[in-house]
Amino acid sequence: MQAAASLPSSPSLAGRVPWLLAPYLLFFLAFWLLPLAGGVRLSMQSDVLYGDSEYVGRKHYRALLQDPRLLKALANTALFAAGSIVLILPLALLLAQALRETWRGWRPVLTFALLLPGLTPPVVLALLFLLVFHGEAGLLNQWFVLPLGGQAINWLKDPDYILPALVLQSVWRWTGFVTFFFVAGMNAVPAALYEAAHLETTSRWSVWRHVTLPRLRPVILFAVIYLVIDAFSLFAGAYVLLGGSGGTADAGLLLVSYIYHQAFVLGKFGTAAAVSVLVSPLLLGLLWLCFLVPKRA
Amino acid sequence: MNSQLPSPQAASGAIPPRGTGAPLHRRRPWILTLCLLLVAVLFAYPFAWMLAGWFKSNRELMMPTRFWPSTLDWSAFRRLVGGEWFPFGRVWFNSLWVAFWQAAGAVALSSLAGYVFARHTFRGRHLLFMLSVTVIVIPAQAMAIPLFSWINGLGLTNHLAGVVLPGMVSGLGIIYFTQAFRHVPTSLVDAARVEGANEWRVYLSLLPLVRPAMVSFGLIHFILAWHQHLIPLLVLSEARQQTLPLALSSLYGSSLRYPYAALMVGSTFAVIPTAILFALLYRRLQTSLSRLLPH
Amino acid sequence: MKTTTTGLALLAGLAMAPAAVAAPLQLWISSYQDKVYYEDMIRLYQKSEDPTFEAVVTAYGFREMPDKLAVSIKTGANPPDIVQLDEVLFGMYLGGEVPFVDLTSRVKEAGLDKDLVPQRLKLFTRGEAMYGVPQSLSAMLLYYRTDLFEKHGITPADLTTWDEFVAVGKRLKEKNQAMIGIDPTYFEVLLRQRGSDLFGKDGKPFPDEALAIDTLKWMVDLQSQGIAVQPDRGSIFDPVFFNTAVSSDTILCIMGADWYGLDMIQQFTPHLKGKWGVMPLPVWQEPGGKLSPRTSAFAGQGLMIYKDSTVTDEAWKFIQFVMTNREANVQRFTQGNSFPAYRPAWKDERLLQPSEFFSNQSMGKLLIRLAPEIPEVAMTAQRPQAVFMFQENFFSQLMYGQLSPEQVVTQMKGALNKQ
Repeated sequence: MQAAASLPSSPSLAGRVPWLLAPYLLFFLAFWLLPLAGGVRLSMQSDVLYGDSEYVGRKHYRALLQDPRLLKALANTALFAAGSIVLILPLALLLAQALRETWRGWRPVLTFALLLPGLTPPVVLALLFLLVFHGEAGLLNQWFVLPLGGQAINWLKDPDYILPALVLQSVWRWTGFVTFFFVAGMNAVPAALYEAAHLETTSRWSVWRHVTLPRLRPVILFAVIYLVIDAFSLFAGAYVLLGGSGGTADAGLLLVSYIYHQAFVLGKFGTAAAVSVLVSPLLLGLLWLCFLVPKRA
Repeated sequence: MNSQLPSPQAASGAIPPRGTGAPLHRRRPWILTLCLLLVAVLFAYPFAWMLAGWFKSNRELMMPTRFWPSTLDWSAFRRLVGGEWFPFGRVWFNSLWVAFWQAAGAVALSSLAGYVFARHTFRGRHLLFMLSVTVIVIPAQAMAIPLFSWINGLGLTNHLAGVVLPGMVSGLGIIYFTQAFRHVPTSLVDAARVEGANEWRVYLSLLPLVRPAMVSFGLIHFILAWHQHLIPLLVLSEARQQTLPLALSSLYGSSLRYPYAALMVGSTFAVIPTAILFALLYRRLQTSLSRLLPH
Repeated sequence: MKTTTTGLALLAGLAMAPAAVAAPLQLWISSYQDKVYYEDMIRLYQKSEDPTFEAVVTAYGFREMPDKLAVSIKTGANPPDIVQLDEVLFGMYLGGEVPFVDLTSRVKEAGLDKDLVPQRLKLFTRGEAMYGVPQSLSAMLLYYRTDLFEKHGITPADLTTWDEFVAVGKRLKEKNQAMIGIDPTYFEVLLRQRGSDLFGKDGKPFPDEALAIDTLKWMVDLQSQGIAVQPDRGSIFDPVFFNTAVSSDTILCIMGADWYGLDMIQQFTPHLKGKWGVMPLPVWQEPGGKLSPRTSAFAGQGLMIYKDSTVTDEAWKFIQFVMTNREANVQRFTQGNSFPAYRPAWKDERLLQPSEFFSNQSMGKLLIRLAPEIPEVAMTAQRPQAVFMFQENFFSQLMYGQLSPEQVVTQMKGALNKQ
């Protein structure tokens, strides 16, 4: 995103909130801001499930800051997001390039095939991933690990492999979408630019680096943002693999799982709200960074 | 600006640009296509497995390495679509309705707001933008209590509107459309502003330029809305008001006497609308996204 | 003027009109199968007792229902009148004021305090107050493969004590045959059988730490000796388990509650019909010769009335019907749900029938014989947490050898005491 100051503004409206924003503001206020305020208030109330709760101020926040599990959840989620991004982006780029170079008629079908995991309902994926990521009898082991000479991995129970399993399912689910966006992005690059580049160098890699990739920056940024959001605030990923639990030694404990556990297993809705209030500035900061990096480059 | 409209083939990269003698492209397609096919098969596996699951018994479904069903048993399909467990047609329609209106509403609201954020300055703009983005960052689980309390207070419990209206607020949409409107050439914005002093008219006239973003974001939001779980669970009560993923999850994860095959059938029906939408919009999406991105 | 007076008259008329027909009673269920059962029961109730009774049963998923219930109770919005909740999840509502009606006096009036198995009666209680009525006996049995027992020359009589069980297991191990699957729930099941529990009467975790550690050690040893096999996903409730360890004859027996055999085993191993049998659990021999009970308990559903319900009396009448009506109790069993805890129903022939699936043995008769020995379950606010903590986290760490039994108990105690 470019700096705000460089854009002209309609002089007559400078300073006042445009009324055009009203519809959005209405919904935003009604269905987001007010509940958010309610959530902040809830985070400062005692965790009583039934009956009157009382004001406890920052009690939950203090308790959370001392909870090693929260830190673990954050660390896991960060690793999960990083792992997904690191695997999905290059893979999607490769696939996008491959898609562009393949025969025209095949493209819609292949693209659609890639998108399918993202379209399939989480409840089905939960069932399927149970079978895929199972221990010795699981599909992944039977068709890939064992034939390649490895030892059967207990993906869902072995603490060393739970996070990799989470990353794998994320790759499976989202690579198609990201590929799709990359293809569009690549199509947007005018041929003349390619021609000019090819005049200067015959290295494919060089062309890529200097023409394609810079042009894809907004798309890459968007993909990164989407994957970060999926890792930190969408429940489906944790749900399809672990049913929302943290797994052995909390190896698969994600932030959303932690919040779900506080709210729905322990009945501590105040604490759960506090987690979000506590963590969201961090995440906003992260997103802000995502926007800043392209500017600096 | 000189017209740099690329020839379709050149843009797609299938024909090597002039003057390079790059034979690589010509020799590659089949290797790449093979790899692509392999990857596509891998990715399409869940869906194919889901289709094959229509006909399997519970026991068969739970065999990890088994793909093909042993018989073509249509009973699960008949029972589910016939409404034995819940009014299937109605529930499917609920899902469609909810997802469609959420997408339409989110596109409308986000594009309006995106335009304002991109092309206006006013006090508190940054704060408001940040707050809008906060939406994405906070999981539904944390806000379940205040949100549901509020929806209930508005009298929307057990109404589809109770799911649709909150779903029209999208932080992702704000980011998306703010970016889209920023990339609309300033000259066009100024021109539109000169012609009609009314900002609403300006917005409307700029819409065709961001149609790409509208289509693509609409699809994304449609998909996300379809898969929504927590808010529909909390807001919707009766069987005939539920959305499809919700109704299906009540079959699975409870008793084991119900055929998982029904879950497979139901879920396939959940994918069909998004698949159709995608098919219809494919070409638009491809070209639209290209225009969305900066030149 | 005329319109105004007419309008006012209408309004007045409306105000004086008798209250509209009461909204139907709302019943929330976790399972679709239960939904079918309760809808049948509603019809039965309407036919035999109250034709004006109206109720709506809504089923949600196993985890969905408790989630929705918690939010409804917290917000006070759109709550049910009656809810069927599993005892493992019930503890969450014992943290402060309990959102369910105290049924103690009603239970006494209905004579249920005499007619329900007393240990089960205490399940949904806190102190002297009773908040729910237990629907199932949930007695633990040892399910075994009659065909494989025959093949290896074992009979149930050989397995009267756990020591004997281990001895037989060792013998089989030499032939590369494992005996039993193992599951996180076995920890509390065995602990209960041995006279202790996860929580004491004061609500504090691990009243008998030494016994808890010993039980965990015993479980680890069972695995290391090859007598017990941990299912891939660490759970005997995992459907894939049946297709792997069970179907490939890797194990000969599984310890499970009555509903386990009625529902899961029959659903996922239909091809093994007639090859399963039921027997009491082997007993522990305490020093001094005393023998432990031949059964234990785990999970089981109960019915509760929401405290702020406006139709408490009606709700209770229906619950009383479901609990005491003979047909209602029998159908719960015949529909493959669970064995009732209501003793007068046990006279019914249908509960005593031999089952083809279980090699013509009568599960009902065995359960009735074992019922007096069922241990109580220590119900506290932290029970759900403890169960899930062990199931999701500590069991694997224990079985993988990452933590010793002592460490598991210490860490769990620490985590539970911190709350």
